[in-house]
Amino acid sequence: MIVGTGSSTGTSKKKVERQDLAQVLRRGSALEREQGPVVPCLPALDERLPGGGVEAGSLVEVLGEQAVGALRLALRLAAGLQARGRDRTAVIVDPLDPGGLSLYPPALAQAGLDLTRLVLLRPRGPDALPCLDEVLRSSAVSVAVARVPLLPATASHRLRQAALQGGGVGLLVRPAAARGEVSGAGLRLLVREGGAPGRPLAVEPLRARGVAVPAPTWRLDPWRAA
Amino acid sequence: MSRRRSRTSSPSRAPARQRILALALPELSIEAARRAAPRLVGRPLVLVTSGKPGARRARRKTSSTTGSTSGSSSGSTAASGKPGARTGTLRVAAASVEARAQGVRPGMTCAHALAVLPDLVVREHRPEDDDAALLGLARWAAAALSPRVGVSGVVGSEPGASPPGVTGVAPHRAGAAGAPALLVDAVGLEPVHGDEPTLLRRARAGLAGLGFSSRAALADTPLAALALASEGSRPDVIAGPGEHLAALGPLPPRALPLRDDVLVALSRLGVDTIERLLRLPRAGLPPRLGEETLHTLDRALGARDDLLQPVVLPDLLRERLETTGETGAGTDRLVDLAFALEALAERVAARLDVETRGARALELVLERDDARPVRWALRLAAPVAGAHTLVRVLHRRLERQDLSIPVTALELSITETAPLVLRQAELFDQDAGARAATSEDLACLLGRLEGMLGPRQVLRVDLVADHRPERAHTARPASAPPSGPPRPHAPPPGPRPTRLLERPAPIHVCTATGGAPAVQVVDDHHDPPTTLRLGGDVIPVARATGPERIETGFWDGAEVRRDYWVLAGPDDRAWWVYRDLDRGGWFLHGVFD
Repeated sequence: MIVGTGSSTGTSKKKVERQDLAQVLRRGSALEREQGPVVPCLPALDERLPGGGVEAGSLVEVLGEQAVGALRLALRLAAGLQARGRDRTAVIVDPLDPGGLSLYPPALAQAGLDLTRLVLLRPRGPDALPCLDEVLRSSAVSVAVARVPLLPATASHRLRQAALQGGGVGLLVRPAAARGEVSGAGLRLLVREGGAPGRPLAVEPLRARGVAVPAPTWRLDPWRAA
Repeated sequence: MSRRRSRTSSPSRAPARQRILALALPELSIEAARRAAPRLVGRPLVLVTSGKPGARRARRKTSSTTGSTSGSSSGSTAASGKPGARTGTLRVAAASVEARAQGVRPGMTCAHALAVLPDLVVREHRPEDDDAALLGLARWAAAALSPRVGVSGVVGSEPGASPPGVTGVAPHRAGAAGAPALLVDAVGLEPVHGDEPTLLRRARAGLAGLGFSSRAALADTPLAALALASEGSRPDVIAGPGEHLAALGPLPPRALPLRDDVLVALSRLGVDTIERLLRLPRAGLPPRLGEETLHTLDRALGARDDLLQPVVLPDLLRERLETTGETGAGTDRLVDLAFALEALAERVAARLDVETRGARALELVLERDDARPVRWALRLAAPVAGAHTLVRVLHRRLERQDLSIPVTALELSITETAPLVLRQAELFDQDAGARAATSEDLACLLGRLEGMLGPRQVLRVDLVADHRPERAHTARPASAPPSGPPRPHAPPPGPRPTRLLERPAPIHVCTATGGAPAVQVVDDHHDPPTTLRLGGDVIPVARATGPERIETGFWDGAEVRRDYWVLAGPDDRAWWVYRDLDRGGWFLHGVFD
């Protein structure tokens, strides 16, 4: 099955020679092979993604306004990835916030994360991206969740390379205003509404392998136990 | 009859059977200096002290005429400060083979040596460096050869000359300032090292691998082994059980740790071998040469108990490397330091490998030109043994170091080690091998992150059974060992926000009824707010869930009495607020981000 080769098939449609088509097919299957192993993390999300989960060694962006539950969704996905990451560690990057808001560990436990296999980083603002890069590059990490307000496009692609090297998943929690930015993430989810405990989130997939966008809103419940 | 008497004190009466491997290190001072400064290898080098030549110096001169010792542990007082810092003639304490080949001898004045050989490299002799090197080798021997290791010829063991840093040294023999040597208990090593020639070969090869030339001898007593090692005809002598008397016979008396005046007296008497010394009437020895001489002879021959005294091994595993160039100035180039760091890490890793242990805590010191050294201590989350991993852990830190002041030397110390998970486990259990690799990877990652952020920013968190939200967890540096077994506490039952305000912020709420529809009123005492004002936004509350009453902490003075509510807006965005039941007023405490 050829997915994500829309542009190359589009250009080659002009030439209807059989050889070209065979080439395209080969390229398509090569792309398929490039995809790493897939890790299931949240049933409602997994069933919508090809392969049944999030790709290992990739970036995932969860975007949303404050208090809309984007961080909670990321933590819930991280719990699923951590549980399947065997002896690898989960890392949470919580840059120091000038407003005095900091990540609250009991909520990590409530999201299903195992605190004994988790490291919490509190970098100052400018240190956040280099240290996230370092974390993703390590093969000791199953998943890294990071709040990343600002992310230049080059940094985004660098992080993607880092994740590819380390084999873990980078979950970036970003403001909703970042939806128009260039990003290296293979899966981008915009949380439109939600946040209240026990309520499912309304999530708009901005980019997902095998999903045509714009897609109808997904309902994901980050409060259901793992 | 003297001969008969000496026979009666032969090893047949020896109370305790020992086999001692002595490893004399005649070039220790020079080789230790070159190990820290590899650019000195192959060049004529002398180490000088500013001490006055004393009685011991005279003895050193006599022994050095044969070229058998380099005088590496001279009896002079410990030099302090730079050459010339003290008034007194600078004298050569140790000379390298290249310098000796040109006629430079230990005991010469520095000026004389420079006249003989103008392109001589002159350095200050620091006896404490020799001691540190010898103890480091003792630690190596204890791991690689035999657990019972003693040392001989520690300069610091001389009374009043104990340098800082080698406290706790148990000298094998106080006052016996011969060439520095290791003494290894060689009983029962056959299963590990094979026969005695193999043991000798391995020991010398191991020392050569560390950059130290050695002379080895195996005998029944420590003194006989030492004598054969330092003065024997070959650098590897084995005197079989009971054969050491015959082996010692042709050696000069100075091979034994006798007092200088005794040696002078013996040479006046024409006694130039131990065999002749033993022919002297035994009863006449104490009045003429002192009781001590007789004891020494008996100890060497095994007539008197002389058990190997194990040395207290140093806790630190330390390697130092100079980064100065030809001119003696330090370097300010990161690439030079990275190169030195790699070399240091490889040395440390090789020594850790012998011990099958990994580094648990380490310290990197950057010595700088006329400035305070930079020290950086680091704890690792798991024992790390690979050179590559050590470099990776430390390189980040090096990159962030301000190099405006040139660095003259790097010193890497392993301050704590832990047993390593043996990689052989992989043979039995593929997973166990993978696990060991990941724990080392994690230790490496955490070390690097600490280098970037500092230990207070790299944390592990635990939940605490406390109802007060701000006290429901603790955080500790990830590198610190856990205070006990993990006690998993259940997370609190009520919903908790993903982000919490360090200080709850007073907020304006509107609790007038009728404003917002479908507000679920659960609490009898206070209606939940109907609107919430955050910054400039006024958010109508669509749903309020609560209250969750938290009333605790009266025992430690930080009492709280609060009613917590989850307030959700029309689009389900949610905040965690409470009403202070004592003082009144509403506060924002968290965000369901």
